[in-house]
Amino acid sequence: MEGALANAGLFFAALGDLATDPAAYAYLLLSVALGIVFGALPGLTATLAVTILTGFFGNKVPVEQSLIALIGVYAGAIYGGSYPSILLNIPGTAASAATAMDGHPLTRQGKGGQALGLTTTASFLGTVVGAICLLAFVWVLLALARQIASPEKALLALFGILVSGTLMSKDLVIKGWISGLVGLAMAMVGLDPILSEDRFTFGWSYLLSGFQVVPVLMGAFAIPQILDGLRVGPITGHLPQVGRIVPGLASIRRHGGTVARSGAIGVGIGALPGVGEDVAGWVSYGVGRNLSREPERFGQGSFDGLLSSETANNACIGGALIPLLVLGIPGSPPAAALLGALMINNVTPGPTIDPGLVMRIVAILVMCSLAILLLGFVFARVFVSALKLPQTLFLPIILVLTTIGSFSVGGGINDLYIMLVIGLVVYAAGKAHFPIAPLVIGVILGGLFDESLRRALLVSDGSLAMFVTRPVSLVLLVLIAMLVLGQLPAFRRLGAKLVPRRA
Amino acid sequence: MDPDKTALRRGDFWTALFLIALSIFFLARTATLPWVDVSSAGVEGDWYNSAALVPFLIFGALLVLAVGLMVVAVRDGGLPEGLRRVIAGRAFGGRGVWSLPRPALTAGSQRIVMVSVILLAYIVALVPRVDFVVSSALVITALILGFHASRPRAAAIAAAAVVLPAAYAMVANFPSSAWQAPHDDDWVTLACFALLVVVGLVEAKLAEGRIDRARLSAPVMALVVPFLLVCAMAFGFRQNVPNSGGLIFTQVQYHYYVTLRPLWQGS
Repeated sequence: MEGALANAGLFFAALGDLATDPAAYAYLLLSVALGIVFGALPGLTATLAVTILTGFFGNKVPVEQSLIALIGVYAGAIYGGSYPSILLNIPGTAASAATAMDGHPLTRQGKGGQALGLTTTASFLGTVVGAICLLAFVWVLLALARQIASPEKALLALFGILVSGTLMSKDLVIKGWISGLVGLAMAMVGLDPILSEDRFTFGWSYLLSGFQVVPVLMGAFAIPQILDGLRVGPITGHLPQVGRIVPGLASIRRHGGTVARSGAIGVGIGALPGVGEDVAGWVSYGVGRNLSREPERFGQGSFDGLLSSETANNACIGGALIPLLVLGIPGSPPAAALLGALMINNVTPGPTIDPGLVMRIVAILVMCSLAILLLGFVFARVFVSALKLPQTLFLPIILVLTTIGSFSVGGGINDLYIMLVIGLVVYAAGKAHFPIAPLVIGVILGGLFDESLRRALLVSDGSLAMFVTRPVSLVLLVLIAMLVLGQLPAFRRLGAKLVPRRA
Repeated sequence: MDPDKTALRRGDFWTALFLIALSIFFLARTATLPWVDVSSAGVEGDWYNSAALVPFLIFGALLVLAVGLMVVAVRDGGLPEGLRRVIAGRAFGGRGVWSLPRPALTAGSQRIVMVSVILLAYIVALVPRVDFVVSSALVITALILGFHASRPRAAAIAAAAVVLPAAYAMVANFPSSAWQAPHDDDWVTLACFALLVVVGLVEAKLAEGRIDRARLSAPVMALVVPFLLVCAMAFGFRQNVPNSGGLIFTQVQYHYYVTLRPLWQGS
């Protein structure tokens, strides 16, 4: 109880600090507005927005300040994706793909403004639910994380990569795992963390410190987006008239249950390593349809359907920050970019993280939700007009932003070469339906996996017994085994026999 | 069988083949790392502490998964027709591998090739050697004028306008020791930028009968955006900027420190 009160005190102190800092407002409003524009423009994503700002701020701006902008742009972009989904039936980001299912039919029925208003409210509430869950769970999990040693860390890293590979694959699960393994392999380049052995550098001294996070992020998320956008050319759609946007209290109250349920789903999905807002949106949409009294209205213009996905994708942000702050394992692709920003600022997430920083992040998230509400209601028509911008106009600028951002963080021209090569390879991999998030998460967690596994074996003198004698480790091992075996046809058949189908 | 899925599996077949080769290569490289005698820098160890342990596990797993992907690809009809004929012993017969139709490059693929060429020229040749504002202005203009419409001619003009100064910069100032010094490749790039603006806009006018606002604003935006970015990075965020010895940046830097800064410092 005392701990909870102390944490609440810390949170309100952080919120007070933010609320009384004029510079924080400037960072917050500008970054959330920028995020909404990024999300609203098809071809730009939340991950790209966070990645570009990471390169822009580098380590020259205090992390307490840059975090406002990074989280602001993240939350804004997840919300902003709903604009083209609702008005044009073109998802601005993958996170808002499920929003288009009911958002656009509502626009066709002349309820576009109402849909935008409720989406704004749902995004606000979703972000708040995420922030509350982050505040509530992060301390419990941080306390648990103190019990976690090298064997668990190694297995957690592996579990994160496998979960991400399994859930992010749109084609074969094996492709997600290959993607994660390639990321892990990339993390092996450079001096090894224990014996400083030179690995796979091929005599290039730049590679001694391994692949840097920012060029990998830029290469994986920005270059393929630019290539694909320019391949397609300008995306245009007829912008419909938008009526009244601010919703009435009664309509918000009517959907209270949907918002609460979707918020919980969003946080839960976000807390899974490497699984992003798009999965949260679809899962919540599916659950909403299954539980609805009028499932036949889903896809025809149901407000419940709209709110199911929109609340979940914003609640996912708070969820994604839980494993990031507790274990250093990003819960979503934009959170991976956020981890990159923390890493270049020498902030190590995990049990030793500064509690003040955690509270500041929660407070930023709360302030972001308010900024979404304010900007969404007051400037919605400005953001709608941004939809007229053709992507052939802004993607070249994104290329220049990406280039200078990647160059400036540290490695100079070599970082740009790495960014370009990774970008071209990831573009080709994306065309072959290999998911990208597991690769990036593999690069980020590879060092942790390598070091933890070898330390664990060093302590046990080479015995593998500690993986089964330690309870948490055993649970993780079982989960990993279930995840892998569950994809094998023989085990699937066995599972189908054991679980009889409903008639 | 869905033709899209067959094409995807055919791609998977080649990807799996590449991944198998890659895993074997890196397994061989990993074998050169110390495996048993791993004591280094005062740290005693054994096989379990070797720097080769985790790479062995990763590349071993990658090999297994790549084989698995190949099995799935072949099972789902992804075995390429040429290999199918080789396996059937008909490779050099009447309908041998030489009579196979060559896949044509689609319009989308052509655009991707052009954009990739521009990206390569920009990052490998221009950014290290040419003033960032000038090179970025050229590339932004090329990408907007070349890819705003789906005309191969516009894309080809754009690609040529970037490749020419890039090739000149590479030839004239290849070694990294020559990158920072001011030289004429900045002027060549600036000239190509001006030429591209004229040719690109005329081409659009001839093809479409009018020039839309997006294309008209491209040259101005192309100069202003990188200029503001460089200034913000160099003087606002105090970050490194590419080619700080370039034509425009040296002038900006000079006037920032000599003309502007004394003004607000009151000296």
